[in-house]
Amino acid sequence: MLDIKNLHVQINDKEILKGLNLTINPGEIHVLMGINGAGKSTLVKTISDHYDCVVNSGSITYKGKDLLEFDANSRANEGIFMSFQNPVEIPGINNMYFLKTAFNEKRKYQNKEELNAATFLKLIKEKMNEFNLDEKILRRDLNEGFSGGEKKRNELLQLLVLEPDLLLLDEIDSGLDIDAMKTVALGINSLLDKKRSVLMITHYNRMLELIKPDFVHILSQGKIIKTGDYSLAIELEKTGFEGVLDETN
Amino acid sequence: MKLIDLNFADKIKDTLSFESLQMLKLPNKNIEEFKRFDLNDLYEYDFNFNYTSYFSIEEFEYLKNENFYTIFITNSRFMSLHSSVNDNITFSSTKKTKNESKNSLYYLSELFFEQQNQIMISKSLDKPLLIINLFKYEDSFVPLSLNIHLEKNCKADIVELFISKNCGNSFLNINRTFNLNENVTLNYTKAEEFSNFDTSIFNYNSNIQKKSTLNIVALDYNAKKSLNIWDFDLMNEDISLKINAIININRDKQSANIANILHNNKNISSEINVQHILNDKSSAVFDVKSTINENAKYAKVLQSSKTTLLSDDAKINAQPRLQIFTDELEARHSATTGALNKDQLYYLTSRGISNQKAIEMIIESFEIKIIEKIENNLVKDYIKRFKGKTYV
Repeated sequence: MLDIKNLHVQINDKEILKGLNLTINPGEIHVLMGINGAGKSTLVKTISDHYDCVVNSGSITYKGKDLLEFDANSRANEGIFMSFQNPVEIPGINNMYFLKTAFNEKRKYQNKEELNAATFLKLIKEKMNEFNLDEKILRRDLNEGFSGGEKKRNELLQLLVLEPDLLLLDEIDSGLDIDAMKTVALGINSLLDKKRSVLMITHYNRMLELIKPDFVHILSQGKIIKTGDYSLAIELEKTGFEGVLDETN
Repeated sequence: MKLIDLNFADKIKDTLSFESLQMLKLPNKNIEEFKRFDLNDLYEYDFNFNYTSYFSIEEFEYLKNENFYTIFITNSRFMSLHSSVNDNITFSSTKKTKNESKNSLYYLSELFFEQQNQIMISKSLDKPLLIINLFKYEDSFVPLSLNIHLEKNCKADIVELFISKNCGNSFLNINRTFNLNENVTLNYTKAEEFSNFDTSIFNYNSNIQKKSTLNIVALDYNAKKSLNIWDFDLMNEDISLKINAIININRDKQSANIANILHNNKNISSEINVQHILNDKSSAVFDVKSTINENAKYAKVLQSSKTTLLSDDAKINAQPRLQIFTDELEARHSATTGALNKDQLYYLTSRGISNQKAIEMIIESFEIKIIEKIENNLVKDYIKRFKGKTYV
């Protein structure tokens, strides 16, 4: 699904990713771990065409297409979804209106008929009931005044509605209490059908107990320095990054 | 005929007895506030001054709403209304009384009326009053003048729509005077949909008695040139004035908000917030002067201009000015200018929304924020729908 080769990316004249390689096949769950500043968020931002990230060299192939040729909205409509670490607030844009617009833009991109407001409302209410999400967030403005947990639940709602093929989850567990984390994990797991793939950034094992990864990668100084399975995450929990980095050196 | 060719002196002698012909010295580039908002082309344009015919309002019937008392005003001369739509609302054309204004454009409109149109509200209204002003003539000078009068202890919500259709190159010079008696609250909303080729000038002034509140929300979109002159002398104690406006223009359109707000008694508060969204080669002026006299103790004064520039060629000239002659007050003024928030834009596009649509949504969010300032929910919803019908 995703094939990244020798990726070099800079932000504000500073090279962050320094020759990163990563392959994600359909149905796989990958986890990125690493100390702050290692380049984890830069990687998911680059895949999502964030304006900060300048690709100097390397390639990203997604579903056989050169992803770097696509802009942010086309990437989303091709099935890439990045869950934000800190979702931005946009007062004045109603959440329901935003969701319906995003949903219909994707349908338009896929040459499908757009859903009218009533049909969309029915669909979204079904999703919200299934995962016990509070309908009040539909009536509020996009992330405005949302608590950290509400913002993450709203990211989950968008995931459920847009049903992407590649989920990029940038610390979706941060700021969540254990119940909220379970809800988010349940929602994400419901999407995993052996075809969709996940690239998840997390600092904690708790989320990994709920969403079991196939691969755990440790990122340091802009490169993946070690790859393992879930046991690597458990090792990290015990030894910390320094232990693993020492071992690698 | 051109405005510069009108014989104002004779006209004044015939119709009004102003002390000074200086009153009609129309503003030009020599006046500070008009340096960046030139009106000369209007004075020299060959306008039609004869447009007395009536026209059918049938095509605008959809604007009516059962939750509102509704009246139509067509081409300024005709009110398609019953003598009263409610016992507490009366409409009259009475002999003109002299309204004071520092604004000569105000007098320009007054000259063309021998009678004064007035809406009098004698008791609090149980539902909002919707006034739909329609204009339908090309190359015309259209003056319009209306006094809105509220009696003691009244509360009312008034919405005025201004819509021009098939106008083009017309100059709409519109006067609004708010006469508010004691302990009155008037929530006034103005929304306009002028053609891309019209000029609209709104001249506001007021006579507000003590313990009264005037909340204004103004939404300006389309006119080639649009000007609001807010001329408020707040002479009585415990008055509150709020003006929230949005200017959303493109091409080479021009807009200006010029305000003179005098605070001349204790416990007066005034706020003027204008949000500008300027695209292409459009330009806007925010020239607001608030004077707080020595006797205006405990005044609260706020002036704010926020501008989002959507192109490199758009321009804003913001001059919030405070003239303070007392110590005991609270006063703030600010003028900010910036581009669209990149993070907001990225968030929307990262969800598959096209860049253009995302920009439209963010601009719409600015408008919604101003519309949210409308106190009455029925009016708020009506304006949102009106905007949806006429603005894409």
